[in-house]
This record gives sequence, C-alpha cells and structure tokens, in this order.
Amino acid sequence: MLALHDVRVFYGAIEAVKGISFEVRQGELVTIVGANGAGKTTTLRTISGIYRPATGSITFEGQDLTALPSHEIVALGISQSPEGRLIFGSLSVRDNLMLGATRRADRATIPEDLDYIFSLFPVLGERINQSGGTLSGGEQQMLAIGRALMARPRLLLLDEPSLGLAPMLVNRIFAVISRLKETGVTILLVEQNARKALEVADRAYVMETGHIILEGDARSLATNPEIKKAYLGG
Amino acid sequence: MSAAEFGQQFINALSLGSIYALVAIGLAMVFSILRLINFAHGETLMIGAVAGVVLADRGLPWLIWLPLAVLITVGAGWLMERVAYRPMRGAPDVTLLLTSLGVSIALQNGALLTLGSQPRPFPTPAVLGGQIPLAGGVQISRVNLVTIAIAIVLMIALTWFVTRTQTGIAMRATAENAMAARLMGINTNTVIIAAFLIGAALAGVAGFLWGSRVGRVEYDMGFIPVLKAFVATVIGGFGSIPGAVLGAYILGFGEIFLVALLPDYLTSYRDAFIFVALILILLIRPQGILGSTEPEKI
Amino acid sequence: MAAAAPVQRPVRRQPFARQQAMLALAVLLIGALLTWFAHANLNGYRQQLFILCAIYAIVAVSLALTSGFTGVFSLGQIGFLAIGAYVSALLTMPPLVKQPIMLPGLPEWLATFDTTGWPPQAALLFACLVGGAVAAIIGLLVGAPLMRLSGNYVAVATMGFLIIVHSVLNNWGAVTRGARGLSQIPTSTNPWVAYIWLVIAVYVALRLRNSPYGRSMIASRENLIASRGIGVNVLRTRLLAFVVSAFLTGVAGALLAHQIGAIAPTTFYFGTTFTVVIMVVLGGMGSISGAVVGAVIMTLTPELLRPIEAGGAIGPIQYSGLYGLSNIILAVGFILIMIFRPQGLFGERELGLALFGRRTPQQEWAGESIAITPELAPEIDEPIPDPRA
Repeated sequence: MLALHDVRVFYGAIEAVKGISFEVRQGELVTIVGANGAGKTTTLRTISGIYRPATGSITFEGQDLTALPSHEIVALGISQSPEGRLIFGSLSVRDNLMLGATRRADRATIPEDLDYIFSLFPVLGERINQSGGTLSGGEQQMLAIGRALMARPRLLLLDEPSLGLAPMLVNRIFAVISRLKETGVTILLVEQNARKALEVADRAYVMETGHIILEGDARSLATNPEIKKAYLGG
Repeated sequence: MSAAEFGQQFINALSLGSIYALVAIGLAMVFSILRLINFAHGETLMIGAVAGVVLADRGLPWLIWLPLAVLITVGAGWLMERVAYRPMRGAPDVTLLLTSLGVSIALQNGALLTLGSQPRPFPTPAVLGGQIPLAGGVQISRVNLVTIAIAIVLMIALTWFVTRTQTGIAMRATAENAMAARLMGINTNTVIIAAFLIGAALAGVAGFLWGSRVGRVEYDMGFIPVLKAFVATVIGGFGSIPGAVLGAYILGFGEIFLVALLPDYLTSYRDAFIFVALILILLIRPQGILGSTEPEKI
Repeated sequence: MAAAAPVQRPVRRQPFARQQAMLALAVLLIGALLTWFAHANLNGYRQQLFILCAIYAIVAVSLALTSGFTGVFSLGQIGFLAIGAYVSALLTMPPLVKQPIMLPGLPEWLATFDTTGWPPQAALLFACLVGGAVAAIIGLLVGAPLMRLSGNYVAVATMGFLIIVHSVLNNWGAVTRGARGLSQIPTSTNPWVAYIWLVIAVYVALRLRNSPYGRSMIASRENLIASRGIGVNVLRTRLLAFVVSAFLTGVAGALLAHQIGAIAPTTFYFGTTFTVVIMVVLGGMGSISGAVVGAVIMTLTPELLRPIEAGGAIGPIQYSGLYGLSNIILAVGFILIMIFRPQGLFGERELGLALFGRRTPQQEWAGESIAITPELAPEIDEPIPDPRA
C-alpha cells in the first residue's frame, strides 16, 4: 500500500534520514521504533509531504507522493496525528475535528463519523464546544487522533501518541489503536515506547540515526536480545 | 471641552478608529499567517482611492465605481502576493519586511508616475457630504457616520467568515500552526491568498472612506494609514485580529483626544507621541493587549 | 541552527594575513588615487557625486555593522544621519545666521558659537566629532532598551525612532526651522575628508567584526541559544555595534550637511532609509566591502536614470518627464534581488577574500536562514515549537 525506497531527507546540510526503504501493506499495523532523533518523525512528515525527500521514492497504492503537496496527500487518504499533538488551541473541539475532514469528498457521513469518534473518546463529546487549548494532555492526544480519523483515512500515521502521557492513558490510547486496526484501518505507528508498540503491531522497523537497522515480525523483534537491551530496558 | 464638543470628537475618533481598523485587519491577517509585516498594504488603500478617482473621471456614478475600485484593489492584493511575496515564503522575517518596503516604494512611484505629485480631489459622493445637526449645536458629519456603519458591517461579516466558514476556520488554524494545518489537508496557499484578498478588499473600502474623509488623493496617501494601522496591530498584539481592531480604536481615540487636550504648540508632535507609545509598548508588552504570541525576544 | 553552521577550516595564518595586508594596501592606494583624481580633475558636479558616494558608503557600512553582524536590522539609521547633520550644522553656521530672529530656540552659547575664524577643516573635524558623539549618545539611550528586541520588533521600533526624529525636525521650528531646514552651512567637505572618514569607518567595522566582540556578535545572530549558553553577553555586543554605527552615521550626517550646505527634514526620512537598505542588501548583508560597492552603485544609478525621468526620446518614441520611474526601477530591482539573490552581490564575503576564493567563516548566511523555516527545523525531541503557537 505504502512503499518507501531509498528515501533521504536533509535539513540544510544535515542528513536526517539516510536512505531508508520500507513498506506498509493493506490492513497492517506497522511500527517504527527508535530513540529520539533517529529520524522517525521526519520520515512521517516526509510521507505527509511536509518535507521533500532529496532522493528516493514514496508511493501510495502505486502513486508517487514525492511531488504532491501535503493537502493532496491527505486527499488520497493518508492522515496524520502529529508528534506533540499540534491541536489548534484557539479553536473549539468541534472545529478541530471538522478541520480533520477538510479533504473529504463525502461530507454527508461526517455526523456519523463524529459519533464514532465520540464513541471511541466520549470525553471529546462532552467538550465539543470547549477550545482545544483547555483540554488536558491526554484529551488533546485523543483529539489529535480523532481529528486524523475525521479524514476517513485509509492509512493512518500516528506519531508518538503516547508521548508525555500517564501510564493509564497510554494503555487507553493503545487500546484504541488496537481497536482501530480491527476496523481495517492501515496504521503506521511511530513510537519511543517500543514495548507497547511491539505488543500491538504486526511488523516493526527499528530506526537509529537515520537508518533502518532492523526489521521483522513484531513478536520476534520483541524477543530479540539486542532490542530488549536497547529499547525494552533489558 | 463642552459636552457637544466631546460628542463631536467622540464620533470623529470612532470614525478614525474605524478606518484604522479596516486597514489593520488586513495587516494582522497576513502577519498571523506569514509573519510578514506588509508595508505595501497602505498602497492597496491608495490604489483603492486612486481607482475611485480614475473611474469617477470616466463619469461613472459612485454606486458603480466604488465596487469596481474595490475589485481593482483586490486584484492588486492578489498580484502582490503572487509576484512579490510568494517567492519569498519561508524567508527570514526581516527579509519579508524589506521586500514589502520595496513593493510599497514601487507602487507609490507607480502612482506618482500616473497621477503626478499634485493631490487630486476625491470624488466624494454627495450623500456623504455635509453635516447632520443634532441637539445642542452638535454636528456630525455624514462621512463619519457612514464610516462607522460600514466598518461595523464589515467587521460583523468578517467575524462570521472566520468563525463559521471552512476557509475562515482554516485561516485561523493556519495562523496558529501552519504545519498542523497542512497535515489536516488545508491548502495553505488558498488560505494565504484569501487573507490577501480580504485584506485588500477592506483596504480598498478604507481607501474610499479615507479619500472621502480628507477629500483628496495623493500617491503617498497610504503611508500614514498603514503606519497607524501598524501601530494599532502592535497595541492589540501582532497577528491578533480582534487585537488589531481594539488597537485601532484605542489609537483613533488617543489621536483625536491627544490633539484636543494637548496645548497647541505640542499638537503637531502627535505622531511623535504615538510612536513613543509604540516603542514603549514594544518594550513593556511586546505581545500587545490581546496577543498571545510569545514575544520574539532574545 | 547550530549544527548547520559551517565548520571553521584551519587557516594557514601567515601567508594569508600577508596577502590580506597587501590587498588592503592596494585598495587604500587605489581609493586614494581616485580621491586625488576626483579632487584635482573632476568638475564640481562629479566631485559632488564622488563625495556623496563616500558619505553613503559610510552610512551603508555602519548599517551593515549593526544589521549584518548582529541580525538587529535598524530602520532608524537615517535618524542618526539627521542628528549628525543638524548638530554639526548648528555648530558651524555663522552666528549671523543663527541669531534669535532665525532660530530663537538656540541657547545663547550655541547661537554665538563661532567657528568662522577657524581653519575650515578644523571646524569640519570638530563638527563631525561632535555630530557623531551626539548621535552615539542618543544611540546609546535608544539602543539600551531596544537591543533586547529582535527581528521584526527591533526593525519596527527603530523605524519608530526615525519617525520621532523626523517629527521633531519638522516641528521644532525654533531650532531646526522646521520643514524649511537649515542653510548657509559652510561647504567644507571635500573628497579627501570624505575618503578618510570612509577608510576609518571601514577599518573600524572590520576591526570590530574580527575582534572577539565581533565574533560573539555573529554568534548571537546565528545561534542565540548556543551563544547565550557559552556566556556571550548578547545585549552588550549588540549595543556596542549599534552605538558605533550611530557614531559613524552621525559623522556621515555632518559630512553631508557640510557638502550640500543646506539640509531639510525630507532628506532624512523613508526615501533615504530605503536607499541605504538597498545598498546594504545589494552588497550582501554583513559584507563591509559589499556595503561600499552597494553604496556606490546606488548613488550613481539614480544619476544615470535621471535623464530618463527628465523626459526625452528613446529612438522615435517621445515622452515627457517620468517622475518616479527611477524609484520604480530601483524598487523592482530590489525585490528581484530579495527573491533571487537574498545574499546580495557578496554574501558575507569581503572583496579581497572573494578574490582569493576564500570565504569568511559565516558564509552564505542568507541562504541558510531561508532554509530554516519553522517547518524545516531539525527533528528534535520535543514537539517543534512553532513560533506562531
């Protein structure tokens, strides 16, 4: 469904992503794990068209994404819940969610999807008219995911959804991610919390300083001694 | 100051503030999205007024030339964005500021070339002329009343636009965080163009009102209003639209009542006072009254 | 961004320094030769143009000193030019002209202050120094609070300063004669004086930049966080650059007043500000020699365009005066530079270094800054702090 081939991304003179290749197949939950600064967020943003790769190709269902502006990439069915949530703090929860639906052709089913998101995150329904900035960190994360879902994505990109959340909330978020996967959404999940990510994922890639250094079945990676030592705390 | 004088000055201040507000909104909108202080915005006002003069010379009635003039102004705003500012996306703030100075000089001299350096009388429509006598010897000029009314209507329309329409909400989102907006699928180009067009339209109307107020049109007539509008946006908080409006009215009142209250020999210094105030605000509260933007300090 | 800053290459010190000294000497000599030529052989109008080039070069160098090195872009530079011009003029105008009928606001001592008996060049030197000093003091008073700001804010605040100066010149009739301006200032500026002050300005600017102060200035511009981390007193270095540039611009103002012999507030406003900004941008922000070259180009171009404005014929096409055309050409040219070559002619390189194919350590700043938009900020641990958020 999504395939990256030899993608390199630079910031000025710094090479943040140094020629990575990977793929995500229809219906899969794939995770990219790795430490801070490994290039994970850059990778996701490059897929979404925020950054341009210097070399390499990114294709989504055979279509090349590298020349498309970000809004057209969203229109193709790729939406993202960004790192740091990036909620529009001055806008209401409703406006935030509606912005997620900016590119939808099928506007008639929007109310239906709003209800679906409120069933996933009831708290958003309670706060529909509150401004995004007044939500707690966990609520903002839910809003970020909900907002990305409002695009009815075929591929959902989740960037560090558990960052900065209390353990209980982390479990909530991952439970929702599993549930989303069951509904058939293809998901690419970037996480520092490798333990959690490997629990829910089908397959995984490990990134380090701009390279993919390991890949494989999530379950087998979780038991890989090196991974255990480096990312799972022994 | 008698009550009658006060009333007159009050309306006058409200009207002046309204014009500043119409100009300041465009500045604030564009700044909030691009971090561009668009000095050439004053020239859109000038273009609106000049277009009015040129069209009225052709014998058109004002009900026709006014909308045409605003349309021309909108075209100028679009062209400005397309030709000068779009290639500069992402450039450092000061580079953007200097570019806008360049655009401003080019347009001013373009007007000088076509108009000459002599002021031309503005074809103020007859309905805007004259005074309305009120009780107690108070007279209110029609221009002032119409200015206030038009500004209120336009501001209500703008509020509806930014809170109720998709493009308006997208505009606020882009101003808050352009990357997040792009991730939502918002076409930021569209939003930027919309900001320029709306700003230009408001400036075009302001050009009409300003021309009617001062009664003449000159190639450099945009300079003072844009400076004042700029001060207004600083008072209210760079990039905050409600802040810009608030700042504009504060400035309008400050200016009118400063002149009314200061001893005569100091009134000609009123611009100096205004800019002293500007510098003080920048130092003490650079985010302005309503601005929430973190001050850009070292 | 810190990591993007170019690596400083090891420099073979000895031969390079000698090359540089030789080059400096050569430039000095050529300049002196030109000056001699201008002084001895050029007619009045061309000599005036030469002097004007030198004076604006001083202003451009001082603007490059604040803007290029510290990232504090001052739009108020012309305010200091005005202060230098007016202060120096009030010193050297003959007491007959300064009597209370003309300028009732002058204090007694200044109204009777008489330099007419002095050797003209001594009087001019004195006027330059005092004009520069007053500009520097005001620069200190204005700069001390303003240097805390950066980017747009400082540009706007210094612009406010210019407007205030302009308003005072226009309205303080008892001292400045308002819009009519001052006249009968002795015209003692000659090519040599202008040239010598230009050499001094360039020397001071280069010395400042290559001093530890200068390096920390550049550091403060390029990477605020890192330079604060290594304990650079950003405020002090910026202020130093601002005050020095105010002094030099004040001197240029004195030279200008004593060249033309008459000054008026309109000279010291946005038109001139914009012209000087173009000079610096054209030469390359941060390049001293670039500022000089920019000043020369920008002083001569309007003169070359003047015949076009005056009206005439291009081939068979007759046209009448096109006032404003030269400004349009300049402004459009400026916008094109901003779009296609924001680093100017020289970037941050200096003339000599460029000739030898060497770049100063802080090369290509303009290009780099453009690359670092909020959206291109390197991936960092925390969510990217968007400046708008």
